[in-house]
Amino acid sequence: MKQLLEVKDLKTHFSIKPENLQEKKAVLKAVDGVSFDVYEGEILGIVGESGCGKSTLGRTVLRLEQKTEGLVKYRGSDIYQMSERELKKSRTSMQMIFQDPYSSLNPRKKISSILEQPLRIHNALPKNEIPGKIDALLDEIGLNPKYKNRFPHQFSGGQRQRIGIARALALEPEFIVCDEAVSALDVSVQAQILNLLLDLQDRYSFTYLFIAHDLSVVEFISNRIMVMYLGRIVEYSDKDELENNHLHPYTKALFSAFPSTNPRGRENRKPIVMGDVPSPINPPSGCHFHPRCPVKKDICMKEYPEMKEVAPGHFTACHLY
Amino acid sequence: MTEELKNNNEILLSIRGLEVNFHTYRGIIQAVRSVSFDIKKGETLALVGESGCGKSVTAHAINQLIPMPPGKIDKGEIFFEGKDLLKLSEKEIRAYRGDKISMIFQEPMTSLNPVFKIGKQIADVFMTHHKISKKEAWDRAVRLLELVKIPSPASRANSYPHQLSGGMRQRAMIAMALASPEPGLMIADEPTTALDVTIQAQILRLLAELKAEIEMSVLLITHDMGVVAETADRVVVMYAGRKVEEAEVHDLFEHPGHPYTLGLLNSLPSNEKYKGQTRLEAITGQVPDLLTIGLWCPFENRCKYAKDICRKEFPEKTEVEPGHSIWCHQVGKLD
Amino acid sequence: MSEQLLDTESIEPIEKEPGRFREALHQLKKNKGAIAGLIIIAIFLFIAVFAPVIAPHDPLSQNIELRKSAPFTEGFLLGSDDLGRDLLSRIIYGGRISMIIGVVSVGIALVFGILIGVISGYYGGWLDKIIMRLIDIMLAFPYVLLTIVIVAMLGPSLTNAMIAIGISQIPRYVRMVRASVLAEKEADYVVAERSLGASNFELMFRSILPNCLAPISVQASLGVGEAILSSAALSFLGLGAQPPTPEWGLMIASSREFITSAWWIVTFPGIATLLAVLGFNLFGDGLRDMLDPKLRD
Repeated sequence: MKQLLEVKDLKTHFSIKPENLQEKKAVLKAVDGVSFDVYEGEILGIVGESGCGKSTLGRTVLRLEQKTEGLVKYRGSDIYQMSERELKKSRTSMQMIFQDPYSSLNPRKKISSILEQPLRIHNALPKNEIPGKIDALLDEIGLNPKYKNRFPHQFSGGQRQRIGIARALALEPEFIVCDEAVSALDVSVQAQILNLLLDLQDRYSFTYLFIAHDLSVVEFISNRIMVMYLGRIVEYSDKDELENNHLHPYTKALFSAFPSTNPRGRENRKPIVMGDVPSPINPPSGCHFHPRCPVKKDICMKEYPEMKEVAPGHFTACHLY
Repeated sequence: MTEELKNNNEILLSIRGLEVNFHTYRGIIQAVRSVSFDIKKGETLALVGESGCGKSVTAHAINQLIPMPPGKIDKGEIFFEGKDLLKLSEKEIRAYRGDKISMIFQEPMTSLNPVFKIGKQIADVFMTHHKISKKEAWDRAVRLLELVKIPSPASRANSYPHQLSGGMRQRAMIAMALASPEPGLMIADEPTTALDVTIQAQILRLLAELKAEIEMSVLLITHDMGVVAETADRVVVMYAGRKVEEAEVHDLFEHPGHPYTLGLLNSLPSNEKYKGQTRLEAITGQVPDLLTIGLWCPFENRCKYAKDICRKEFPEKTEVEPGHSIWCHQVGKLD
Repeated sequence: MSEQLLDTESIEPIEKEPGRFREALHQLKKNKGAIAGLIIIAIFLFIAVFAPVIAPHDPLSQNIELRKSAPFTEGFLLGSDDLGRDLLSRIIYGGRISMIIGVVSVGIALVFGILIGVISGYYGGWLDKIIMRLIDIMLAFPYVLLTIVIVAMLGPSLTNAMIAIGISQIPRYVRMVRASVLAEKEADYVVAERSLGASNFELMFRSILPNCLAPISVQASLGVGEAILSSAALSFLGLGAQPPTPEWGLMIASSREFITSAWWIVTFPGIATLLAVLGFNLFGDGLRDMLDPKLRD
């Protein structure tokens, strides 16, 4: 497969204002040294709990957040080296779908004007063809075009998410970052949207970077999965390999914590990890997972483990392997 | 009915024909329509459904925490230990809240007071219900924090809510709910929805362990079928203000009888049938508007089994097995 | 696959929520104060627009013989002033001037306040810091004093009074707009539109600003009332409108010596000022209640 996106040692740090005089200026390392590739036509899932930096990673990859260090190459060109004009041009091929269908649509704009905006900005179409395109977009995502003159608040959560998807489709992109795109939806609507995303991918061979905290959703939709914990990737591999042979203790914890939808056998309690997710402002020394890790060794407190290939295409950063 | 309930020692809480409406200027929102169910002593009953199905309103009707107005309990009875809670005065119902009926919420910050230490907040609950000294109440609070497995409880009791993580706050709130003298019923309203999955697992396990230790019933309100499968003994499925199915948890997951329950289970990407599948069997369409909803089956417009009768009247109860009831005209006709 | 897409086509929007306009109308109906304010404003606006038609006399024509006529005498409904000019006509024309002052000075304040506030909030950083310190300095002056200082620099005239009032009202809009922009610019829709390639200008003025207008409209309504009051004060001090302009403040100032002999010359312009300011304040307060979801039921 052809490489579409290359991310190397990407870091996104935020400086946090000190709360009182004694404290020094703190640094929140939301993304702290992440490398991966995205291949054409694949769905790469990123899963992790809140504060693991998955959303920041998604935004940094699109240059919606400023990187601190590292490299993001899209089709071979570094998007952080691009001029404003080149960046604007590249925006047509990279799009994003957001989590919250309530805040991702401008409440003061009609649906038609929300969908018209990207076409207008990029002069993608002659003016007289825009209304037809808007109708086609709404048709595509399963919303009757006759409602295009309504405002976002007149639609339900699932419908708004469809509108958000239509907006992302408007410029006919090839790469779409889905940032928790189905997390805010009820489960029956979530299933509709997941199907829609898959249908659209079939039709237009999109590449998705699918970010979610819900392991079952990521498992269902992705070809490959990366697991993030406190700003770093701890494990990644093909979906099937990860499902059957997850190695990193955090990945194991994630899989066993995920509630099964089969009530039989719940009495045989699976081991669960205790403790809280530490703050990304002051992550634990060595391997960030060591305070919660049931199998930690001395070295885990001192050194962050290297990413190692444990099976073809299956990488993990753990001192056990 | 009342006599029967009074004599039935098995049943802790019984809701009969509950109707809750919200009277807004746009019209009447029929949030809950003729919902009835019982909670037995010591069991965990899950009230499951998607947003707007009326599950929270039903639970909040029990200790009358619905904002009134615009909300109004228009019909029904809620028997708790043989007494109809809806007939009690505000003062009497307050004695039940936090005494025999305690509540935990999705967002602990809404029920913890940000300006007091959590130890003091729990001690206060003790002191309103018992004549004990400050010192003793504090000691008891610390013991409760230990019970809910907060590490180093003695020093944590001195923390303010914002100094705790989300999971710890939820534990503190559970401790506060347990501080009531007789926690007969704990209403848990989406207790783990705001938490990360590894923390959720911890809290669910804690609730299970506490239930084994303390004699109490839990009314669990959730939208998450996974949480239901992990914790519930029995399940009531609600849709658009109506109860559509009630069953013991294994029955429900193995033989869902209502098309909505089936659709809900099929919507889960974790459903085992999707191994190697590329599409989910989604329920089409969307929930009807509760302002204009008719008297017939509310699921009719999304149901692939719907027939003419489904658009005419709401179905009667069909008991397919002891303890497993379905409200559907097409019972047994699902493939 | 196409079946899957067809599955979802039957989706209708939720009709249950009425439009913003109907919602606003409903809120307005419940707010008696706002309605009263709106009626008063409407009356004053009507008078201002149709002043030449409504006014029974020329506001400037003097009639020394009929000076200081009491109300309801000599064909003067509200009496005449010390130069025999019809008081009612002067108040009507004064209303026109007051409305213009209110609208123009608030207009000046809005244009600059919004511009500076949006830029300050959107870009942040050192630019924001400098702007906010300058605003702090302006706010350190008492409002009336600041206005007087500006008029004194520009020279006394009605136009300069409007400019001065406008300038002294800028800080409040800057602060308000900046605060709203700070909150709005983090919203997902802004990130979304940026990811579509929207320019900063488009984001600031076409995306964010329309979402910040609600609190500004409240402040603007209150501001009009205040501007009318300030201009009356400036004219009273001789820094605003110059004689023989029929400006309410000036009318009060030039006739204050007759308060014992001919009370109406002072009183009626005063009442007119009071009513106009009251109207805008009532409406502004009502608007705030309507727009604040916490005060709604």
